[in-house]
Amino acid sequence: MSQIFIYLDLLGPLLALPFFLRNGRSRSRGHYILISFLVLQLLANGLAKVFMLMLLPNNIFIYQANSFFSCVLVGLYFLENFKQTFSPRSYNRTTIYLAVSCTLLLAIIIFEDTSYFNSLSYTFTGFTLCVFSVFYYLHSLLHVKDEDPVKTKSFWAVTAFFIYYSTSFFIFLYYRILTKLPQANFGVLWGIHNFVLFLTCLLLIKASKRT
Amino acid sequence: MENVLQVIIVTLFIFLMGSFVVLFIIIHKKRQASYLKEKQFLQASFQQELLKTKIEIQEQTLKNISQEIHDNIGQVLSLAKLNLSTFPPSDDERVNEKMDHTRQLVSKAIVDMRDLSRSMHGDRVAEMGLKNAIENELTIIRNTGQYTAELLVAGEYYPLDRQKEMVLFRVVQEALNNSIKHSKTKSITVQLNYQPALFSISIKDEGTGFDLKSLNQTGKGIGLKNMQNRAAMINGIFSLNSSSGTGTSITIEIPEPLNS
Repeated sequence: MSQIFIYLDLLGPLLALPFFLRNGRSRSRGHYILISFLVLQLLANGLAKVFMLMLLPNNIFIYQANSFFSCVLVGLYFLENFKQTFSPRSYNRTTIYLAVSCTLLLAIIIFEDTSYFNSLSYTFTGFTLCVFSVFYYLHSLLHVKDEDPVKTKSFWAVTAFFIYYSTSFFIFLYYRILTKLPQANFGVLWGIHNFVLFLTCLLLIKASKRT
Repeated sequence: MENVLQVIIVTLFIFLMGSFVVLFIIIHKKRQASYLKEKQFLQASFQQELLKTKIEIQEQTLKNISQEIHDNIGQVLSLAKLNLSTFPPSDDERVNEKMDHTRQLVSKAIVDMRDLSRSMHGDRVAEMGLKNAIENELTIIRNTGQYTAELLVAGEYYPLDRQKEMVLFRVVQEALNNSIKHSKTKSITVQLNYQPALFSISIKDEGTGFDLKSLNQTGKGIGLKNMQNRAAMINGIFSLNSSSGTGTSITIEIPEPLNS
């Protein structure tokens, strides 16, 4: 049973990708970003698994790279959505916020000890993207339109990211505490993480459908 | 044990985040409902304002035409009648007969012109009151000799708001015009019902009537639509009853008529 949880982070993107490729006629930039996110997850998690199965010593850099590129891609997805709804001034501020966050994240990754998994980059990515999600929700509440948000693609994508990154933030914050304890069991946390990623991919399928 | 605790904590957290999203949807739906209601209200007031302006323009145009008829054509006809009256009698009986006939025609034209001018002029309705203005219209119809037209008044009379009276008068005019033009009726009844909490006016004819469904399908009935719009403008409830062979009845009800 626990073996299934190990591979859920591959199963999720694998399940979601065909929906995105099938509903590709009305491809927007956001659609491509979501495809890229799923491909990134598939490649990074797949490569990490190969490393793990081949008992190669260090696959930490793959996780770090995944954390950074995911942050960039999802951040770009949010910007793509905000472009249509935010005022130019707010949009520029959000872009600057994303750029600063990505730079900080890169600095964290570079200066972190890559010999063991340090969850700070994941925590930071989770926090940044949660802030973006809250921006989205807040903006939707303050600028109500005729359209029901539940019927939009962006709502489901943002909800998927919000659930994933808020849980990630929580898990990896806790992970950092666990690293300081002797005989800590990280397997369960990774299992939960993979399960949440799987759920996220299921929610993203909803965002792949044409509205 | 620790693992189970971890799973429970994270599951609770996921539920918390899920609840946040559900809460967002609920709040958004509430806000959207009030936003749509407000938008609808604004659209309705805009439409009403537009209609009001349209009717005001129409009234102004009718007023101008009415004045032109009265001041120019009416004067010319009066002068023509005067000239005819001062014309010396001829020895030829046929010429005198023709002159008399022409005088009568000009007199009729003057009377008709005055009637037309009066019914066009909105201020006349305000001066005479709705009841008298309608009575005047019915008299004109009766004078043609082809129709019986009756005004029935129930309840204790009270004057309505000036704009309401004007709009109702135009609706009555349109309805009477429709009855004469389309229904092949010989009898028209207008009923005014003055109740303290409700004013109603109905125009009935005993003509051929028409099929409402086919009227909606053919897209005709602009006059009816106009009446409906006018009634809506004064917060009146417009209803129309008609079917082939049973005549037509148009009713407008105004609740709280004394509140402007």
